[in-house]
Amino acid sequence: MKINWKELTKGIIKENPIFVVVLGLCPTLAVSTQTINGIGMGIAVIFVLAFSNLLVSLLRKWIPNEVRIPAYISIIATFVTIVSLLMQAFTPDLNRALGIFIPLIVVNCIILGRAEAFASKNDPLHSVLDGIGMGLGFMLSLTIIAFIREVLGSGTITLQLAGVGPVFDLRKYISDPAVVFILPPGGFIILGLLLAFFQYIKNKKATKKTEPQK
Amino acid sequence: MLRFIKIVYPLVVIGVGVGFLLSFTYQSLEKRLAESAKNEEILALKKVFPEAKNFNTKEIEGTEYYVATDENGKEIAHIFKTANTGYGGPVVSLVAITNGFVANVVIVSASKETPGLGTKINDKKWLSQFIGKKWEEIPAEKSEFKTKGIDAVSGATFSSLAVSKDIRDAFIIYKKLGYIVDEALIDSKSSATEKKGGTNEN
Repeated sequence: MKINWKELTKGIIKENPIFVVVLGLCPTLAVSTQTINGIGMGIAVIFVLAFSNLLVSLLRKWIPNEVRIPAYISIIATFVTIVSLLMQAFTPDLNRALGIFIPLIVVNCIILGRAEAFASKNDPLHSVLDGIGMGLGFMLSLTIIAFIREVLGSGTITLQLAGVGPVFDLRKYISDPAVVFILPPGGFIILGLLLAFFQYIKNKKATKKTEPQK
Repeated sequence: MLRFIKIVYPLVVIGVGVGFLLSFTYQSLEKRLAESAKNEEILALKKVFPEAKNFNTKEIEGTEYYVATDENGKEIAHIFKTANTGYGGPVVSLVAITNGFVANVVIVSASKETPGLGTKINDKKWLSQFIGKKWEEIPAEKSEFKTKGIDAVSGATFSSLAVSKDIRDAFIIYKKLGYIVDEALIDSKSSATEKKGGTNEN
């Protein structure tokens, strides 16, 4: 079987779940206050997406259409619980930071969306690739948002996980960080600007190719 | 009826299957989870009172507390775990008291406070202003931050107040142990304000 690597790469930019598809904004805005939170949440989502896509794809012919949503949700919830247990056991620091947002992955639209839109129609291999790609896209967007918010809002760059890793202090250069960027309004502002930026690139590309948009 | 069973049985199988998967994961992680919880506890205790060699768990009237001892077994501090409601949920602190003075304060959990604002109560510099204070100098309500000369985290008064109340609660248990003979401390507890209304932003 030929592997279509586009399924992996499309989630990163072309169909980026946050900036292009605009899904799963609740955890995005909530956890993106420190750079490490973005990375941690991203890894958790990659894990859940890859495994839930795999299982949904394997069972896609056997799950009756009428009960597919509860079936998907139970599968997703299982992997989320596993992630949460693993985090509690091995990275208590990250667990403390992400706290209530890990259980919320269960109802994250990205994961249910990929199960419904992709995994239930494609073979397991490509479903896993799709899951990993979408997860990477999610992690990347989250890290970008978190990075900008943290630098502007707290004047630091935190890459510390479980007590290991550096915390860069930029307060020498940014003497008065604008707290608003850490708060929900700042999250919306940054997200809005980034969405506009990505849309701008998309439009520019579309006009260059002189193709009709979408 | 047959159709109904045909539709439902995959769900039942999935339910049972994931149930097994979860119980297996939990079982294989159980030891590690308990260890991690215990490590967190000791780590927190070490953070609040690094000079101590040992921490003994004791109990008074159903409340657990810790006695920190040095290498000769001499009691050097009492550590109390207390919780009060902050902005979004409980703020749990460990408070170490030596001879009636605050020796150190560490926030164990403030996960429901506003990230980047209420969570600033974790800041060591901010917490250090409580160190060396007697119970009379700890604010019990919002207005007392000014009169007692302790800064609340700007924009996060409720979170700050929760920490302050945690310290006061620690003193109340400390008093039960018989170290402070002052009735006013217990009386001031009754004026403690109730939880702030309003919803969390998430």
